[in-house]
Amino acid sequence: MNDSPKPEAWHEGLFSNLYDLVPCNIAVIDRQMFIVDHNANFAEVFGEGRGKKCFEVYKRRKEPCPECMTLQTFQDGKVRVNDAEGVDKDGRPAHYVVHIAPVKAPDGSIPYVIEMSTDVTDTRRLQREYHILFERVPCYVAVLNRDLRIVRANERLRDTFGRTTGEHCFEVMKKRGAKCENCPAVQTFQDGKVHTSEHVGISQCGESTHYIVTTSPLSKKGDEVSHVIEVALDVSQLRRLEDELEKENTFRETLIRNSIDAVVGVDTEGRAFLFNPAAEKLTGYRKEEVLGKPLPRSLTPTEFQDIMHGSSERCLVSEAALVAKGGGRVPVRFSGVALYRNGKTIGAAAFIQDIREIRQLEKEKIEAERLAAVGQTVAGLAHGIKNILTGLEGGMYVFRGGMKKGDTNRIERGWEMLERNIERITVLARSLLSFSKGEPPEVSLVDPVGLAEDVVNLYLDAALKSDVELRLDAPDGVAQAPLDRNGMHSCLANLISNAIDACQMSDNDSCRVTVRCRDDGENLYFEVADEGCGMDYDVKKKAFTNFFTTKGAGGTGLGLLLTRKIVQEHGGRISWESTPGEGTVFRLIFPRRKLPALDPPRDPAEGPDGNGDES
Amino acid sequence: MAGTKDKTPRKVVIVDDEQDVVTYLTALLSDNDFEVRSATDGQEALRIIGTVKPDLICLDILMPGETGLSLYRKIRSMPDIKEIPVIIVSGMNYSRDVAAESPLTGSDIPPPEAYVEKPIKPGPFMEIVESVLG
Repeated sequence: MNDSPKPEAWHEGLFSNLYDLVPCNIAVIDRQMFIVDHNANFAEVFGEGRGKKCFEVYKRRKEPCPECMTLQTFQDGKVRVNDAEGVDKDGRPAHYVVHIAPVKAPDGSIPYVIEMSTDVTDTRRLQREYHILFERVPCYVAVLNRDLRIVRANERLRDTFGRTTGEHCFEVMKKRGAKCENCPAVQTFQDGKVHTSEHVGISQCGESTHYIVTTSPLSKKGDEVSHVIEVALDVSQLRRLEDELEKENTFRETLIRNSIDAVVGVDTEGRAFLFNPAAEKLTGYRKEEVLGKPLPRSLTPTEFQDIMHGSSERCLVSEAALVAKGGGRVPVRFSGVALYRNGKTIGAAAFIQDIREIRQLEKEKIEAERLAAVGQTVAGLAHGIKNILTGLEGGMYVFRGGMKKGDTNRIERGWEMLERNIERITVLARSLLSFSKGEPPEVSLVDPVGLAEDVVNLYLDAALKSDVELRLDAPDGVAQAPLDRNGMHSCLANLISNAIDACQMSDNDSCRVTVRCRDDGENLYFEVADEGCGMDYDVKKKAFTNFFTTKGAGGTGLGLLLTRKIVQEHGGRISWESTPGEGTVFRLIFPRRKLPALDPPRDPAEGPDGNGDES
Repeated sequence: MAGTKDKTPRKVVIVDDEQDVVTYLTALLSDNDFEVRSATDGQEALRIIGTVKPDLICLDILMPGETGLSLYRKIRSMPDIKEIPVIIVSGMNYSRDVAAESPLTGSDIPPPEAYVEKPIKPGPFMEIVESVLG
């Protein structure tokens, strides 16, 4: 018994195995284009095809393909290779390479053709993907040969650096004539390893371009690397941002370091993280003593602590005081603001302005004004005294003449004149005394506009006689204020009377005096503006003793000095602007929080009525 | 002091807001045979001056209603009275306070004939009056 199969049977088995296992699709087609048979692989890709026309199975067509190569092989018996696209059994596109071979009968006819196709769908896809990746990756990609010439460059590299293929990479990317000293591609060619370094190139627009480049070996010939692929990531934008950031930072630091005002920053725990040199100078604390530690409470007002605790966003304290390291109090203007990041409080910043110098200047200015006022008042006083002296002189003359002539009537008149002028001197002396002693103001809640109205009404007649239009300009809603009504009345009367005088001295035919009363929430203002002759400092000093009242024997010649005294007793100040020929504005400014406290209520019978109480 | 005998008395207008000064100068000038009229404000003064056409005007330069200086300018600008001599009487120092003031200096208005600073002494005042009237 021989167990081994007969040679024919063995061949048959080999053939059928080969037919099904060969890694390609085999189909046998007859002259009518019917698939007579196919192997298992074919069915895997295109499904069962026996008895169907080949174009139906390969391509889902109803008609034969134009220029069908199988038909040509049936005609000429030649072997053909074709690159074809079809549709697989699931309807997906399939790429395949097909070999078409004739099966010849002993008589030379060709009853069948064998088609052997290899599926290349995946290869094609990979190629396409690679191509897209190469071209579109947001990097510069180039393949270099050993001469450092660019064999291939991607779209981005071409767009940025211009013409590339065939050129040296250093010419293209750096516009230089020789290779760079630290060339990573050269290193990769030498050792076959990956190298990375940062470079600055020049784009075709001439802009410097920062990139980080990685070189890798691409292919080898024997032991030698024949090509290198270099992939460069453009970091210009990043570098530019870093640059900007650094510039910004330097700028900010310089500002803070050289600020005249103290700048202090604290975190949410109240620990200082910023303390500039001006802060050191102002507070006497050194940076090292403060940074990272809770900021001394004596350096900031309570308003700032509210910001640190998140109960307020900002504060402006125009008059605050801090206690410096040595214990000295420093008057400051203080501004604080909460610091946020992404909507969350991260601390607070304080800006502190030393106002000692401003205070000093203010004091000097007030002193200078006071001296000027004293000078003017003394001149006015001298004038007043001269008038009284003239009255006394006249009294003596009239009296003596009466004596000489035995005229009792005249003696009487002369005596009266003497008495009257002695009384005037007494009044003058008394008010000088009261001025120097300083009587406390009698404070009550007063409607400022009503008060201004009273004084304006009092002067309407006098203004009319002098062809001066006197008017009040005051909005509604100026709140009541604690004021010494009589004192304020005198101040306004004095200013209005001066303004009318100034109008009379003016060459203008019609003059207006406007009295304004307003309130900006912080300060209460009284203004008396005239369109009179205006004055400069010299004129004021010399002429017409502006602040000397001309109101008969009751005038004391203490006008502005008294006005100033009253205003100062109310915590206010006087400012004025005057342009010769155009007019003068006097402004009484009363910060509301500095106004005096209310006196206890007084007997209503004594209550001021605003009329006839002008001194 | 009684100077003129036969002629009609010379007329003077005193303008001053201080009644005592008016009384004083009225007595003084009457004693010296002047016919005296007085006014205590500018408008009244202009009216009286226009009617009386005095030989002399004594003017205070600081008065309510109208200052002596603007009254002075008006007097000097009215053709029928502008030639009347004016003595300015004031508590201010003329050379320092008044001369520097523009209405009189640097303008085409002629200066007053005389200036008397208060307080007024009878003898010297009358000497000035006589010298002004020549």
